[in-house]
Order: sequence, then C-alpha cells, then structure tokens
Amino acid sequence: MNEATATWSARGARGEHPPRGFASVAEDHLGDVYAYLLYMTANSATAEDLTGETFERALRTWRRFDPARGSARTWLCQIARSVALDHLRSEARRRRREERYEADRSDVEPAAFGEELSPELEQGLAALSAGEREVIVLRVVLELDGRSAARLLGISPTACSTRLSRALQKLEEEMTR
Amino acid sequence: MTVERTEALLRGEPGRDESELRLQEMIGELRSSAPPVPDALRLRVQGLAERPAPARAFRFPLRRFALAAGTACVVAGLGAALVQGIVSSGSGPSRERLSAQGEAAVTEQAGSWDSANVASDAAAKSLERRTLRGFPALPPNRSRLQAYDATLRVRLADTATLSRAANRAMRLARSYGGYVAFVDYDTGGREGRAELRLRIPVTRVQSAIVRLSALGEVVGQGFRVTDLQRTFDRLEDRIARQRGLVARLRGDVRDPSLSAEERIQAQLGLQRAERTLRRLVGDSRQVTSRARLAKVSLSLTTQDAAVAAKQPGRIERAFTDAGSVLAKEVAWALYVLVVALPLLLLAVILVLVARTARRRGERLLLERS
Repeated sequence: MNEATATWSARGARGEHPPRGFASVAEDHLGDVYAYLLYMTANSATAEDLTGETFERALRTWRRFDPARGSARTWLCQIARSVALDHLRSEARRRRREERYEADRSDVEPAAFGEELSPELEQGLAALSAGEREVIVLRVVLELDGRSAARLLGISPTACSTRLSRALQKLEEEMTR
Repeated sequence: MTVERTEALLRGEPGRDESELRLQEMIGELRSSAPPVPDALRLRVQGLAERPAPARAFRFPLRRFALAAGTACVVAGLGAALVQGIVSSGSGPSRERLSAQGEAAVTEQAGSWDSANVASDAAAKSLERRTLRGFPALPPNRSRLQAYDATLRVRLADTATLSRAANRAMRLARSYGGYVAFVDYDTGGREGRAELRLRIPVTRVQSAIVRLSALGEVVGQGFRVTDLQRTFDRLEDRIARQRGLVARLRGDVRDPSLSAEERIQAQLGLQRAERTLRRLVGDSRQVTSRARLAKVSLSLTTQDAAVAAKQPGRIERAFTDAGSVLAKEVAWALYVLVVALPLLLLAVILVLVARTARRRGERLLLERS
C-alpha cells in the first residue's frame, strides 16, 4: 500500500472520516477516471491534471448527482469526458495558433496506458485516435455495459458496439504492423 | 469479426478461432493492466474530498416553476369563469328596471292610441292592465334607420279562439298599414297552432304588439333592434359619387374631339357606371324598406304544455355564464397555442440541429486527436 493510500486508510482507522458520500465515491473511482483520461489523452501528465479537474467539478456538482439516474462511475466519466473534450478543443486551437504541432508532438513523453502492458499493445493504443481509445477504455478496461457507455458517448448502443468492434480490429492491426 | 462475437468475448465467452483467441487475450491484457494512479494525484483528490462542501448554488427550478405556473393559470382561469358567472347571474335588477320603463312607455302609448280605437273605457283599462310585463318595448328612434324584429308567443284556450285570434292579428296588420308576409295555420286534432309573420310600419309597432299580446296568454316574447343608419349613409355616399362619375362619363361621350375607339370605350364605361348606380340605388331602397316596416313573428298555440319558458335560476345562470367564459378562455388558449406552435417547433428543430452539430464536432475532434 503506498503512502497516500495508507494515509487515507489511517485516518479512517482513527475515526477521522472525510465527508461521507463524495469521499468514498472519489476513493472508489479515482482509478477508473484516471484510466479513462489516460486513454483519452495518451499523456500521463495531462491525464493527471484532467483527473484533478474532473473531481473538482464533481465536488461542485455533487449535490445534483442522482443515483437513480445512473452509477457514480458513469457520472464521473461523463464529467471526465467533458473535461477531456474541453482540453482537446483547447489543444487543437493552440496547435492551429502556434503551428508547432510536429515539434510539440516530439516533446510529448510516451504514454503508459497500463502497468505490464506489452510494448506491442502500448504501440497499438498510441496509434489509435482518442475516440477509438475512449470506447475501448469504457467497454474493456472499465467494463461499462453497452447502454451506460452509449449514453455517455451520446450514441445508440448499436453504434457503440460497432465503434468498439472497429476500434479493437484496428488495435489488432496496429499491433501486428 | 462480427459485432455480436465481440460482445460475446467481452462477456467472457470462449473464442472459437485463432482471431477470436487473440482478441480475447488482448482484452484480458487490457483489463488486467490498469494504469496506477500517481501518488500526487491521489493526495490531491483526497484533499478535495476533505474540503467543506461548497454552498449550493441557486438553480432556478424551471420544471417546478413551469408546473406551478401551469397549475396557477388553470386555477385562475376556472376561478375567473366562476366569479364572472356568479356576478353576471345576479343582473336581475337592471332587467327589471328596463322592463318597468318599457311597461310605462307601452302603457302610455297603448293608452293614447287605444283611446281612439277601443270602444269603451273599460276595455282600455283592461288593456292597460294586461300590458306586457318584462317586455322592453323601446320606442322607435325617429332620427335613425333601424330594423325592428319582435317575436311573440301566445296561448289560447281552444282552436276556436285560436282561429279568431289569427284573423284578428291579420286584420290588425292591414289596419296599421302593413301586411301579412306569411301564415301557417293548423287546427287538425285536439291542439291547434298558427304561425304568422307580419310587417307593420315601425311607427306603429309598439301599439301593434300591445294589441297582439292581448289576444291571449303571453308565454314568450323577444325583441331585437339593428341599426341600419350607417349602412344607409355609406350607400348614399357611394350613390352620390357614382352619380358624379356617370355625369362625367356622359360628358365624355358627347365630346366631339374623341376618336371612334375612345368614344366606344367611354360608352362602355358609362354603361358599367350606370349599372352600378342602379344597383346601389336598389340597395339603398332595400335598407329604407327594411327600416320602414318592422317584422313581427306571432305564434299562436293551444298546447297546455306551452307554458312560459322557465326562467333559469341564479345557479343555473351562473354555471351557464361561467361555461361561456371558460369556453372563451379555452378558445384563447388554443389560439395562442396555434400561433406559438410553429415557433416551438422551430425552437425544437434548432435544438436538435445544434445537438447534432455538437456531437459531430466532438466526433471529429476525437478522430483527429
């Protein structure tokens, strides 16, 4: 157990509980949100920043969360998606403005999508678009069901399944290249 | 590989061929190798969770407001209709005042008229006593052209009395300088009835109604005045203008400087103008004729059940008036809805278009990232 997790657990053992509800939800789904944003951005530093921003937004809107309308994980992923899209739009504008896209790309550190992932799989994931990685992380890594993932993406369940199938096929092709 | 097989592999079903086995292996690898959360991030989020919850920002409760506003409108509409019904159902005194004035005018008129026509004082007094109650017989307005329409329903004791009353009514109309426009008389069987439509000079219609009401027991009456002066004035204006046009065209036709073709055109125009003038003059005569003679519809019957129409009570009047107000409110609401519906549809379409455009933009952004 690392230090941060130990601190959190120790406080709980001493009876110093953080506010119920949001704290427990944050603890339970921090990894999911981080994995989602890492797959979206293919950059661990960016994913870290965006994860923090996601939970800040979630805290501000925590009172509006309704468990009857969906799970906390889906709700957090929706917020994370919004944060990620804002970031991608901002990046696209910046690249257009500065016209140093290739130079910037070369400075980006390679993403580590997961511990103990094979280099071929890492390479394959890096070659996919953000949209393709998004559907893979939601359905495969986070194991969201088809309906929840489709609702989050704003598409039909059938379209979500089709998008996943194509993404996995392309990933396989990129791995074998 | 089909979409269905991909979903099956995600659910954990075993692969069937080499390609599915490779995919299954890839899925397993992805699932088992979740990226670790950096310590700094964990501490940061932990710090967030320990913050006091931010004050709840005020959010205008649109749905609740719409529901409350809709309910309030419905309640207000029903309440207004009910209040209007109750208020208007209590307007008896004004009708009674009018009827008293009408009665006085009719009595006076009947008195002055019938003193010359009734044989004895006793008959005249009897006539005064039997003057209509509640009949608002307003005196004709001598400075304006107006159409008078009156209806009277009288019950007689038997068919013999009905026959005498019908004849008396027809003689009365002729003696007053009017005429009988229509008669439908039927005394077959036990009951008898007669429908008469009389035309009586408007200057004598009041006296005629008094005399007709004395034929038997009055069980129903009605009265309507329609002002025709404005229509007549407009027709007279048009006639004057048309006469001016005809005079001018006649002068044009006699002009020796016109060519043959121009003279033919002027003659055709003159003929058209003269036709229009004749039509207008005919219309004007119809209006004056309508105003000169009042229409009196007289129904005579011997039926026992033909009692005076039961006057609705106050509660019934209140509900009737409330119902008419409610009907008007519904009509207005439908009118507003019809006017607003295209705008609402346009708003919905714009929202859908904006949503589609936003999703397309997101998809393109994710494809290019």
